[in-house]
Amino acid sequence: MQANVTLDNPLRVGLSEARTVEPCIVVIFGATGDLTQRKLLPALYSLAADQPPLPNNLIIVGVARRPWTTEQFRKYAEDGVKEHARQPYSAALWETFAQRVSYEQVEFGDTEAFERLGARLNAIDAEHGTAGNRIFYLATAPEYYSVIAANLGKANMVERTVSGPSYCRLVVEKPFGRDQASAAELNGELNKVFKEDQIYRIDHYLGKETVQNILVMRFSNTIFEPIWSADHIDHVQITVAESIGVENRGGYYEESGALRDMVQNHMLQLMTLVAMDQPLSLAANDIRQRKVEVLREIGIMSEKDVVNNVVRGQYEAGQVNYQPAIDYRDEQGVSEHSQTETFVALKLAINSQRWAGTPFYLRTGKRLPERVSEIAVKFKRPRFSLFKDLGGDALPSNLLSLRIQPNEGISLRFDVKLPGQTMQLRAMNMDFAYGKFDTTPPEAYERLLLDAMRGDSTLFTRREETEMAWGFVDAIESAWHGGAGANNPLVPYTAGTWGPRKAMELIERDGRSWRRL
Amino acid sequence: MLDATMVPSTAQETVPLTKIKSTLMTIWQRLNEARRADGKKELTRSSVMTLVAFAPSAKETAWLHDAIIGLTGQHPSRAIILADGMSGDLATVEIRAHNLDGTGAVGSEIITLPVPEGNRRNLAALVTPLLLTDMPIFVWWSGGLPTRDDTLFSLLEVGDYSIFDSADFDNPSEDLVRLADLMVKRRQRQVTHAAFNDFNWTRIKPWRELTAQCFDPEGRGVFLRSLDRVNIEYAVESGEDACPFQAYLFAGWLASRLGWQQKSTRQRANGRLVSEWTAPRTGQTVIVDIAPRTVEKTSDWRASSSVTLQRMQMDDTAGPVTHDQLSEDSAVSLGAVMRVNLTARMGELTATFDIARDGTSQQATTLAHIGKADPESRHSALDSYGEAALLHQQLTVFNYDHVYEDAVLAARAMVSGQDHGGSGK
Repeated sequence: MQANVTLDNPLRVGLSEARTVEPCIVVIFGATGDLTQRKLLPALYSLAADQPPLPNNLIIVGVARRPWTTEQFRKYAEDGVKEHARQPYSAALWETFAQRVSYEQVEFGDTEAFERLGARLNAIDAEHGTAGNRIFYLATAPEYYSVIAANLGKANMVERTVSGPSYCRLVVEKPFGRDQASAAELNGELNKVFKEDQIYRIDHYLGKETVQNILVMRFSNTIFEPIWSADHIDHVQITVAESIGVENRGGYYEESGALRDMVQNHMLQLMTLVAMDQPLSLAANDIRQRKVEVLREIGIMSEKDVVNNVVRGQYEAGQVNYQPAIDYRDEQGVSEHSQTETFVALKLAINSQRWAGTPFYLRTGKRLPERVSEIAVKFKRPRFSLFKDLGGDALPSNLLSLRIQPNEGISLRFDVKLPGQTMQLRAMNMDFAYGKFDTTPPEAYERLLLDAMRGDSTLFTRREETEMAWGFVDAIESAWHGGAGANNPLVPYTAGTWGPRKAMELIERDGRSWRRL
Repeated sequence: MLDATMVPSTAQETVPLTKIKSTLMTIWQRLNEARRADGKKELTRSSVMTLVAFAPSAKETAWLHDAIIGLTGQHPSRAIILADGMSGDLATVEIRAHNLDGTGAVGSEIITLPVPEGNRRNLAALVTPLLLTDMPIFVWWSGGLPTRDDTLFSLLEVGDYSIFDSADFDNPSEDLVRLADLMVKRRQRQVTHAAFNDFNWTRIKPWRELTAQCFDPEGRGVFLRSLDRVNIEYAVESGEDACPFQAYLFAGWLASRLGWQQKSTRQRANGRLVSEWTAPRTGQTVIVDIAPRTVEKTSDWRASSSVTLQRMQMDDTAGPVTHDQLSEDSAVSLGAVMRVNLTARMGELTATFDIARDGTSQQATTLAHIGKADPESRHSALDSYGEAALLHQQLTVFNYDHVYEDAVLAARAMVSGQDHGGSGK
């Protein structure tokens, strides 16, 4: 995951960054929103306070429809920084940072307002030497993505090139479309204005340390890759569990559901990183190529596959973390007859030489007992068990667990002999926790923003991946709403449990079980 | 305020040298039995290295001990402190634990060994039985560099990595030459294979970073090739000397990275050193002027270590140390770089890049003046490193740092007039 370009600066040799961030203007659309205050501005502040810091002439322009002043926006930003930034708040550093922050009121459909914005950005170029470099960050509701991109184009604010003297990049938040057709349409709209290499689709899971560590662990160690196949791995489980409900996002969630909200992006991304073959290099295109191959190998589920291998559930009232949790259908913005799934479990087959015969089980849901995301790779027992008569076969098999949140880390389970005169076996865990480094890793958004500024798209998803993932999800949605729906109904589960009983059956019928997390 | 004594520990036990390993084993067992009885997770006995620290005095012994404790969370290890001048033949052993309430509690072992006067020649033999199998060995050297005929020299050869602080050098010019000599001989495989890690090199990292940033933007590289003057200032107290090693290293770094060849050096009064270099290709003469600057609020390097320990052991009660607190609390250490000013001339066009510490704070302002364009300014934090944090940094370096070694060789050329033969281009 090197930067794409290295500068001809001999003083850089041996310093931490192969390439520094060039001066630029980060334009955040949706600047008055929650994401901007909780994630984006704190991430930019932490980067500015870090060593090495961002250049001083990195300017942030917040854009939204509210009639705010720059002072109001700075106050909003400061509150966000105080509460959410990884780096401790410093009044002196904030003062320097705040000088880079300004606000522009823009109606997203108003072309003239974009022309005024363009003139403002040009004035900033002249004042701060930002050299025409732009990052447009779309942190708005998705329905504005196309119109904002179109107006950026109409106002001549986008240089459609990736190799010119200045750069112009578009960062897009999920959800990226709501099915394959809408994603393709959105891609088409964006591609009218931006080249594909200028578009950075964010999946913040890819900015997490453990997710990046998947590549290091698999391809930098000699002990895992030789056994990373169906020959030695019994199955893989990927869990992304949330203990919260839909909060105040009921309206959005009704349209999305767990399948679109989590499986299409985070879970398929995790799965492709676990399953892909070694890329030719760490270059973004080489890694993407391998990920796309996995998506191809999964293919599209038939209606029969959906009936047999997908479980969908919806939470009913219960108790989570000793607090009462209401029924999903009683949540604000949710229909009382809602058929939206808040839980999905599925079994996937990857049709490749490496993985044939090794299923991948995925589960995600809301109102589950814990907030935990984990990839568990379960190995096969030895073909011939020397310790069969000593209970060795009853022990759980070797397991490699990659915990993404909370407590990011890696755990390996293996059998040992209990101390004593007799031969007794026990499974033990060897744990590695990122917490043991006693340091706070950068937030996912810091990493991703920095990469976007550097022009490194390795940790972003590309058009082909997005559309293929939607194709996979669409087939399931289509089956649910078509003939297979009756055979694959939405099943309720009690809030605070690990999903419907049917999800247990999905894996238990194969003689396996979900991990207790 | 947190300090080293608040890191949980077993009591120190005094044992004969022959019983060190068995005593440690017993302590581990006892500790984990007690934790099991309390329903707590067992401590993991995990080590990533052996750290050997030589303390030339009782005061240094106590100080090194505290600094090592501050590292247990990030570098679980076996640490062996050699207490020079301590009499007797009993060692003290203890286990320090980290993250007791979190996931994965780990413990580190600390062994303090007496080195009675006259017993220095046996240091390597004293340490070798206690080295962990197949783990990297760091030797932390406190004080000036030993000479090759010094009996202490054998200890350097025990380690894979030698860590020292050139701020401790009593005679910077002589020690610099000696250090460079060691590096050359190491490269020729005549002496220790150990890599050299210097605290001062890490201390000037923010200055190197800020300087490099001046030349990152497109089109700025040309100014690097046209530099004709570099001024470096370092902190001294009124009427006092200070070790200018940081300034020497910084100058050496610039010279080696830019491929300058040394022409002459004039040592002027009051710690000032002016040298002339020739830039490659252009043949341009570059003047490097190193001068002391008197500051009112100075401290010994070690005065800041408690702040750093606190910073590394942040907990819920203390909260993180803010940049503001660091600015208010810290004085500038003697010898610290205060300002770097680089001037480049290309015909009529002059460009200056000025990086200056803001008063005695841990912040700096960078000003770039290029021709008649409006100046660009930048305000940045200078990371404040206490020794525990510095040690932590050195313990993450698992390779020869050729950029550092080239800087030392160029700095030696500057103070001695010898050709540095560095590899920087």
